[in-house]
Amino acid sequence: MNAGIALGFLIYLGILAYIGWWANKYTKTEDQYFVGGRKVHVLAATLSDKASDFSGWLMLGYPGAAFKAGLGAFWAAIGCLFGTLADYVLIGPRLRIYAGKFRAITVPDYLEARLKDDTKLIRILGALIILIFMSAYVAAQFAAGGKTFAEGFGISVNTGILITVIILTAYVITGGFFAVVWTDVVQAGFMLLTLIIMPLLALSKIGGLGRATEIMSQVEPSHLHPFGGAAGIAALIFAIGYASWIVGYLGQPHIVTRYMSVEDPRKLRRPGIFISGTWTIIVLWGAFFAGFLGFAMAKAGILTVSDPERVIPAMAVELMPSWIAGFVIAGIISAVMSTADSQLLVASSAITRDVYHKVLGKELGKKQMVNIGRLVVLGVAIFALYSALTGSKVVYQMVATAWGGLAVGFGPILTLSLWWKRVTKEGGIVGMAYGLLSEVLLEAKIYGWAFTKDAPGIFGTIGGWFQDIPVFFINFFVTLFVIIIVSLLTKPPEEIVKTHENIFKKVPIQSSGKTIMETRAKSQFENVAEFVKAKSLA
Amino acid sequence: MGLSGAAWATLIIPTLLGILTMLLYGYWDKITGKEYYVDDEILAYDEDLMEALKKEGKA
Repeated sequence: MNAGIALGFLIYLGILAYIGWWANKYTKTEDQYFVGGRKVHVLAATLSDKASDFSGWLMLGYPGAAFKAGLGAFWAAIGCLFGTLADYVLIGPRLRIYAGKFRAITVPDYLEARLKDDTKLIRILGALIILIFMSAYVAAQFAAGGKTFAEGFGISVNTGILITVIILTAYVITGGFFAVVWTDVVQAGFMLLTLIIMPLLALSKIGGLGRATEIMSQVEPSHLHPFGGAAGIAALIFAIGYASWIVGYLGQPHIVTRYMSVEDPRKLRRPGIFISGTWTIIVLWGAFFAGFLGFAMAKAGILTVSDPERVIPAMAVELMPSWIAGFVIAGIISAVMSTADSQLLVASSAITRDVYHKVLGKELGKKQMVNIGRLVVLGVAIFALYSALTGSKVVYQMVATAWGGLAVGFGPILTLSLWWKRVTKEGGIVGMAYGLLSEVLLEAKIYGWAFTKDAPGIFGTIGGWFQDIPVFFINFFVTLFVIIIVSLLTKPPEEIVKTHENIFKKVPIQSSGKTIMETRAKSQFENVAEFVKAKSLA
Repeated sequence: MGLSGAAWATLIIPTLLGILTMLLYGYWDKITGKEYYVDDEILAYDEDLMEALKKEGKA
C-alpha cells in the first residue's frame, strides 16, 4: 500500500469519525435520528442532497461514459442538472412545508397524512418500494466501495467491501441523520475538489483542448458529435435516453428527505437552489471533461486505462503525487459512501418508522425508538453486506431497476400531491401499486433499462414504438395518468382539499428584511419603537 | 482544431438555461414580492433538539 495515499485517506477518515462523534449529541429522538429534528442547516441539507444523489456513478460511471461515448454523454449531465433543478422547483419547499405541518419523518409518513389514508396501504406500499429498491442500492454501493478500495490500496474487493461497511455503518449508527448530512458536506467537498483538479490536470498533460480534439478526430470522430453520430429521430431518442433522468429525480426518497429536514422551506429557494445547482454544474462539467480528455490521453499514449470507468483513479495514481492521489481516492470513496449512508438510513426508517412504529403500532420511549433505529441500520447493513459479498442475482436485478422503481413508485404521487388538491388516496394507492409492479415486471423481467422490439409478444410491439427510450421515462407518465384518472373518479375529503388550499398561501415579503417570525417574536410596542427609530422620527 | 460550434452549443446552452432557471426560481419571491407563509407549526423543530441547542446557547 502506498503510504502517501494511505495518509490522504486517513485524514479523511479522521474527519468522518469526528463528525460521527459530534452528531451523536443530537440523536436522541426519532425526529433527530431520521430527519435531524427538521433543523438541518441549508448548506448541509443541499450539499447532502447532491452528495447522496451522485454515487460512484459521478466519479466512475459518468467519466467512463464520456470516455466511451464522447460529447454525446453530456446529455446525461443535462438530465442530472435539470433533474436537480426540478426537485427544487417542484418538490423541495412544498414538501418541507407539508412535512412540518404533519410532523412527517419519512416519505410514506407524508403521503399517508397528505392523502388521509386510514387503510395504511400507502405506508405499506411506500415502505415496500423503499425496502426493495433501497436495500439493493445499498448493496451495490458497498460493492462499488469495495472495488474502489481494492483499486486504491491493492487489497481484495471483499476486504474493501468490509472496510466500507464498517466505516459507514459506524457513523450512521452513532450520529444518524446529522452525521450523514455533515459527512456528506465533507464528501461533497472532496468530490468537488477532485473534479476540478482532474480535468485541469488532464488539459495540461494533453496540451490543451485543441490537441485533444485533434487526436479524437483522427481515431474516433463520433466522439466530437453532440449526438454520438446519430441524426434525425435517432438523435432525438439519443438525447431523450440520457435527458430522461430528469423525471427520475422527483421520486428518490434519499434525496427528497433532505428537503424535509431543512431548517426553513424558504431557504431551499435561496440559497438552496444556488448551492445545489452550482455544485452540480461544476462536478458534471468536471466529470465529463475528465472522461472526455482521458480518452484523448489514452489514445496519445500518456495514460493507461484498463477499464473506461477507472479513468479517474488511473489519472490520479499515474499523474499525481501520491498524497494528493490519496485525496482523489478519498473523493471517489466519498461519492460511494455519501450515497450509501443516505440510502441505508432511509431503508432503515422504512422499517423502524413505517413498519414497526406506524403499521404495527409499537411505540416505546424516545431513546428506545432511536436504539431500534440503530439496530435496524445494522440489520440492513448486514443484509446489504451479504448481498454485496455473494453478488446475489435477485438483488442486482433490483439495483438495475432501482432508479426507475423509485422514480415511478414515488415521483408521480409526490409531485401530484404537492401541486394538485384533487389527488385522492385511491389514486395514490393504485398509482404506487402500479408503479412498483410495472417497474419490477417491465425492467427486471421484460425489457431491461430501455424499450426494445425484441421483447416477447405484445411487449415487442410496444417496445418497437418506443425503441431505446428508457422504460421508466414512459412509465412515469403512464403512472401520472393512472393517478389522475383514479383521483377524478373518486373524491378527496373536504378537509384535505382545504388544508392544501391554505397551506401554500403566499404573503408579502417583509420590507424591513425581517421574517414574519422575527416580527412576531417582538411585542407591538417594540416593533413600533424600532420603526420610529429606523425612520429617525425620534 | 478545437470543438465545433454545435459541440460548444451542446455544452453551453443547457448550462446557461440551468443558470437562468436557478436565478428565476431563486429570486421568484423578490420578483413577485411574495413568499410562502411559514410559522412555528410549519417549521416544527424537534423540541428536544431545541432544548439541547438552547442549553448550548445555539438557539
